[in-house]
Amino acid sequence: MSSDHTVIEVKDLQFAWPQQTPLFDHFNFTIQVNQKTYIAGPSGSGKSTLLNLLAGVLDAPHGEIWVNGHAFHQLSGPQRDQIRGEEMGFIFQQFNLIPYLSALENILLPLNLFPKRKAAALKDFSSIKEAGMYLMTRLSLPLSIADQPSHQLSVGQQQRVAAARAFIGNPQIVIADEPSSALDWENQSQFMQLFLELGESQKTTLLMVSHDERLAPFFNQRIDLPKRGIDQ
Amino acid sequence: MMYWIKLAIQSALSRKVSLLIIIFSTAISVTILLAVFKIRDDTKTSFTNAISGVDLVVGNKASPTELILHSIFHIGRPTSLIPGSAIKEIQSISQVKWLVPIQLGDSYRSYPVIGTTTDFFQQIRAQNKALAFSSGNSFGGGNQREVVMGANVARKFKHRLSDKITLSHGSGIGPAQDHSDTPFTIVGILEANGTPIDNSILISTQSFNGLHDGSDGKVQFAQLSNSQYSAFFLGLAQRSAVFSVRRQIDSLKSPPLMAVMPGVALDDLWKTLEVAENALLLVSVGVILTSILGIAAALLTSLESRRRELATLRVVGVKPLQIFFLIILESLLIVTAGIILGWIFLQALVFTFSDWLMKEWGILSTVGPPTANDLIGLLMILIAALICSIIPGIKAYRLALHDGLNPPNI
Repeated sequence: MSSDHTVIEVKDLQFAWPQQTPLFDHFNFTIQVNQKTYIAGPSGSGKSTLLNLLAGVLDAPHGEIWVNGHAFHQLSGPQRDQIRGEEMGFIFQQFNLIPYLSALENILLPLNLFPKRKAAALKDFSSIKEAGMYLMTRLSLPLSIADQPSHQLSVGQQQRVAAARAFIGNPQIVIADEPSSALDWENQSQFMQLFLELGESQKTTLLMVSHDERLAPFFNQRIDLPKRGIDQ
Repeated sequence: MMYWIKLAIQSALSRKVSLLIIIFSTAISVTILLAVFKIRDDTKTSFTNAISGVDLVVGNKASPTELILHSIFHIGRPTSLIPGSAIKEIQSISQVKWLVPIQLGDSYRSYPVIGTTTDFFQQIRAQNKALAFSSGNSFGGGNQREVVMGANVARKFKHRLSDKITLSHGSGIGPAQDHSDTPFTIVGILEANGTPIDNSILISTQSFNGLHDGSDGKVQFAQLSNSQYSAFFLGLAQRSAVFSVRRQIDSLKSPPLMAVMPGVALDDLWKTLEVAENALLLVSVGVILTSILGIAAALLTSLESRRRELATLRVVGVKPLQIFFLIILESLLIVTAGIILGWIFLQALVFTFSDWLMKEWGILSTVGPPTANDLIGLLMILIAALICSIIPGIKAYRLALHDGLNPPNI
């Protein structure tokens, strides 16, 4: 790691799907603690591949990926899963919630799965439920939806429930896919506001990967995904 | 672990209709298996306990099983009759403590009539308990035309003490002739004891003979001498003498007799029935396997529509191996629910049909906790379910690895 303040470092990353032109060829970037980074990637640029690499779901066969001091390129899949669960939060555009769990149960999922996250939440709150309710309020979610099955929520509500789940238990890093394109601009920017506020108050390093240039001004660092020779 | 169980339950509950169908089909197959176990066990215990205290059953030389089935359970073909002269010879064997003669062949509305002596009520034990009268008492020793009625017969025809009844010659099935000019009076009704005695009518040997030799009326159906018997029940002074007494009886020349230990004859019977029993068991195991494979298939097909859900679990840090266990857990919970429901079904069945089983088959069946055998069977079902659910488990594991955070958009 190059400095104590580096949270994510990608070094000399090379990645290609079988029989395809490489997505990343000696790709490098560094993200410092508390930075808000916008990763610009037009569709087909390897946006979701990068997300999977940073999440530790995909192996990086060449190059180095450091996340929160962990050498992802050297760890096993399950070890990276553990780190992802304990130290990171993810917000995806879609497919974010477990359909058979209520809104609140979805938010509390990381706490119930990872004792370390639960302990972190219980430092600030008397119960995990309270921690969940607090985040719901912060994200302007009505508490009345807490016990509603998640599939009954609106798209905007689902997005915020996913955000609450990403931030609960104070993970060091929260990585977000761009906000749902099903939302209008007003709702999207409102969500961005809440997302950034929450990251600031919890001292979380924020990352968003998007192709929507209108979102770029919300961030203080910008990384462009490499252009590929042939667009797929 | 508790949280994983909760997740698995909620996941299963989210597919209510298919869950209900799966649990129901598992429950039915579990009921079938447990019912086969129960009928087998209850038949054996009922038959084995039917007449206790009898060390040997003596009859004419023939099939031991037939003798036992006919003399104790009133099932199957009648055996040939023993001349009364044999009684003296048997009683002269020193170890023989008591002898109860059994005459069969008549019936009351298709229920068998047993001609015997008053010793029957002293010596014969049912389900290891002495016979007891719910009302009245034994018939007289002579030819008083008195009957003692088994509990089921009395209940079925709503008979009370002092009712007059008419016995028929023959089994009561097909053309039979009434001994209508020789009515009998009910002097005693036995308490129910869960044995074929409940379905019998007992009269004295003198009355029985009287019916047939016409000494008490004009009826003369059979050219039976005054004393011929279907079987003798013997009690010995010491049970250890049973083999020597058996040998002595078997060696009697006139008439040629055999002595059968009821337990041994029943064991022979079970051995012959083993093939049928195993076939039945095999069928129920097949039914169980079918429903377990059904669970595996249902889980397998549900996985395709659960890819988002699995990807979401991966997003929050769930490992592929944990997803594998989650699927197996779900299948085990479904089977457990099926087992519990199946067991409840069985108890309901037993509760509903125990009267009928007793009446028609002499099988005593009661609601009760699962036997060791049941538990082993149920454990095997769980293990089979565990093995079968490995297939959807592996599929889920591979989907989790392959899809990563990007399930196909479905």
